[in-house]
Amino acid sequence: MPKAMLLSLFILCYWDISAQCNFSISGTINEEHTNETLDFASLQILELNVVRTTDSAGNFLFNNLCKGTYTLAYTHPGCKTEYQKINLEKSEILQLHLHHNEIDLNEVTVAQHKRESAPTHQVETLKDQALFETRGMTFGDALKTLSGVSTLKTGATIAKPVIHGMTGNRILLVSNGVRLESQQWGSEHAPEIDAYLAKKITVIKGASAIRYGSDAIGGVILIDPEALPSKPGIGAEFNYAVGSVNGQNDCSFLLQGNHKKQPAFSWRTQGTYRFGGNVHSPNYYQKNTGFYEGNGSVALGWKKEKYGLEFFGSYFNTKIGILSAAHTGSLADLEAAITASQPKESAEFSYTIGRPYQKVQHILSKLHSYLNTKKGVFSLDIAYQYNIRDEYDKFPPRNNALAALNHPALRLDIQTITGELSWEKKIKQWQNLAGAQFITQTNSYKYGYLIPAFWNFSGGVFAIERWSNEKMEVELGARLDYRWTQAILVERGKKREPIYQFIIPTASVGLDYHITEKLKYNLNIGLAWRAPSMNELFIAGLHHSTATVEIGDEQLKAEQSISITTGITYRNQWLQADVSLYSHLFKNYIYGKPDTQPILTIRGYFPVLRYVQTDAAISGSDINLAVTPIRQLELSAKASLLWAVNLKTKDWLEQMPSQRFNYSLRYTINGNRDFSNLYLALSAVHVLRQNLLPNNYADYLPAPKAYWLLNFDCGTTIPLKHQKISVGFSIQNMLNKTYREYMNRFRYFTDEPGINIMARVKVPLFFH
Amino acid sequence: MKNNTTLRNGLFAIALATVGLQSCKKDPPVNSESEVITTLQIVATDSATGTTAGVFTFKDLDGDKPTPPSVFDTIKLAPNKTYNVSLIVLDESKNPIDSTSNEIAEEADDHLFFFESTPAALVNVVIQDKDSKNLPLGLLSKWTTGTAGSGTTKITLRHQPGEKNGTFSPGDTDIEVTFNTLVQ
Repeated sequence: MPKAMLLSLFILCYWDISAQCNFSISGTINEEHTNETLDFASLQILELNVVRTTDSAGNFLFNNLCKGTYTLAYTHPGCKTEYQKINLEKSEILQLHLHHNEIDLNEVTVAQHKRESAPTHQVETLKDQALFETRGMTFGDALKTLSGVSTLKTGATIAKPVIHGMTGNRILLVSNGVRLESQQWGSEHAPEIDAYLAKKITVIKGASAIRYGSDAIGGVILIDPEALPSKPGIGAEFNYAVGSVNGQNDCSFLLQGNHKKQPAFSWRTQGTYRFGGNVHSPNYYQKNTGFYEGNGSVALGWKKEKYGLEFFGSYFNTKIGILSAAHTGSLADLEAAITASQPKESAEFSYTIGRPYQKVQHILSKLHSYLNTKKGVFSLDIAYQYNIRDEYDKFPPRNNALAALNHPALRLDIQTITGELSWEKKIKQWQNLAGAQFITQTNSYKYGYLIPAFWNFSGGVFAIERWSNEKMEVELGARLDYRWTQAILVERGKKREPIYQFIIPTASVGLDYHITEKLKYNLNIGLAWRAPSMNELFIAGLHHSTATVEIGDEQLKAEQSISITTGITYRNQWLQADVSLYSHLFKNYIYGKPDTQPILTIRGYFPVLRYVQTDAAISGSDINLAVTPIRQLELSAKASLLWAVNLKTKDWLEQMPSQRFNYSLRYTINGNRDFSNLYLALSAVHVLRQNLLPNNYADYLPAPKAYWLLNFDCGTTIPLKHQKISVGFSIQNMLNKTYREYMNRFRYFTDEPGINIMARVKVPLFFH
Repeated sequence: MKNNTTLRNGLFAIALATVGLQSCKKDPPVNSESEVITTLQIVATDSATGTTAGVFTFKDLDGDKPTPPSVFDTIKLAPNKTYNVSLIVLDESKNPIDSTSNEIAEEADDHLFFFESTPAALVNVVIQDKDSKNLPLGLLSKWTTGTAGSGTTKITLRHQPGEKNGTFSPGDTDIEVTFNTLVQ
């Protein structure tokens, strides 16, 4: 049966090739920013294995071609290879562009190269046009456009990415090569990332990405800026986006350059300012849901072929209003808030952010250096991060003197130093990568208590070996970490300092096999451990938004998992199919379980969520299908399916995203997606009701109903002299649907946002 | 040779950073200035004689945290009598003890107590004190007991900054304690 299927697929691929063979493809290749023609650029028609090189004027010619569909790959020393699909019905003259990255050995490009040649992992990327189309969304919502990725939200403005049902400490965010260390355990703590800094976002699903740390049991998200420029001149990019649902304005500016006399020196400075007001749901404004965010970064590089140094420093600062109706003092208050058909406190549109709110600052600085020798590339990275999170309650203290100080109800403050030394070398068919990493961390709190102060030291060594030939690629990776943590607890004036030590082994095996040129199979098996985090061990406190007391357990053991992901990819000129299956099996899976015994406080009884361990299996499938029946039209369907089972109780696990589907229709006038002049897209999101809940699961409200959303998108690129201005316009929730989402913690209090009309523009500039 | 130097330098940097951080390992600051209500006391005085008929206490020193209350009295009153009741609200987690009732009295315009007796005939409560806008407050009240019986008395403190209008709905709950009540 599979053979017959393959055969029929083959017939479908080739049936349209006719016998006319007098067509040609010719044209020129230019550098994208400088627009200068590129000589000695190489081009290849993959299907025919014919290679050409451009002449001194950047011209090329392929002749005597038959009618058919070809993939043209073209590159130039120092440029990334680009691909273009050509449906050849007449002779074509093409104007191609390449973007000049230097052949630097800076970690970003080396790492990017590694990742792109790491097909044994389940990877999805967001870049270029697809990334531009997410401008104006929260970082979490932008990632949601990828299959297998969803969000855990708190209201409309706080979104955490969820990969295969896992979030928080099970996911690692690596921003510009540095693992982001903040209070990432909190479900209402959004990642401190300036989405406008990213040129490319990569999601690696599953536990196999051991390169980045032992905790990444669910996956890794890499946020990479563009490599620093290597061509002399000054470049700039201006981004602006607006959204109607909350009167949002995003403005981001980037300036970068490379010194003419000293080409080793390059620099970049970048800043973003975003703000929004009260979010509008179809029937009302959500009171106090505005935000602002102001970020800036500086990068300086001194890069030679043999050695180089790069500094990166960034500051992230945000203030986010929390829906006031979601702050409740007692279970009775919560019940009143839930039964209300709309939030008790009504509002008009306003940009004012009142109490309750959170204010978060994140400072990151990093020094990266490399040495390129005959014995390989050695890199050394040192980074320092400082995260301050202030949470302000709905009401200031009753005591006037105390209230006048305007202190937050809780401040969490964490400082992290990370370091990495790595070695990379290709020896024949082996790509070797080995390194050592360390983290030291100190966490403290002020004004209120939620998690204890602690010290943390971790060190680890890793090695990844990759072997490849034309047909297949095999990857073996192993990692060993040691983690030492000491908590400092003060209980009724008495101090206690428990110490936790863990030795954490991780390993992965991956295979990528090209069954045919168009059909690819991959398999990855990862073994991972994750030490319990501080909140899981020690949290003790009331969450005002859920009127629930969370209680940690000091006796928790490390979580272990085996995860298996496997997939096939098929590509021809009219069909693209990616189907992957995964299963993450856990021993000692840590989760918050509702306790049947409520606790009594002076504000009445509160339900309790206790951190417990069980064995679990999280399995599912991510499916991407795209059909291009005619060149201008792309029909696509995506599905993210997930089933999470508590193996001890033989029942479902709660707090998991429900099955979701995305269908879209995209019409492009002139050219294909990469060189689009104008596109129109209509997409529908279908989210099923979460019915996979444990028996007798106590929840204040049943899981919300299934919903359908309709979105519209259009955009174009306007060439203006040598620059290409991108503009985009989109309407989200076009039908202004009233709905609630299971994975939003504020689903008890408010509907999701209504219709949102967004517009965005990107203006790149380049001066010699 | 150069590689070895790099390696050595790298290891040295790691060691330095580690030692650096460990040596400045003083205790992270652990201070708390958050307001906690730990204690609610009902001081009942026989209105006829002026003698103290009883002090009934709810005390939970860790506030919202998991430890159960250390004192949770049953209100015991005599049938068919009238009592003058004053409520005392304390934060006993502080040293010296913070009198939250004084702050409530100062911000009377933002606070309102509610009393609910089950069954309703067990105790009838009438608030005696008023805020600056002539709305009731509840730190002082008159309790009239009915015939002998048992039930509960729920005392709720609503914190209603800027929104107080005499009804229950605005604001949040600061205290909600349901005392077992015995009239005998």
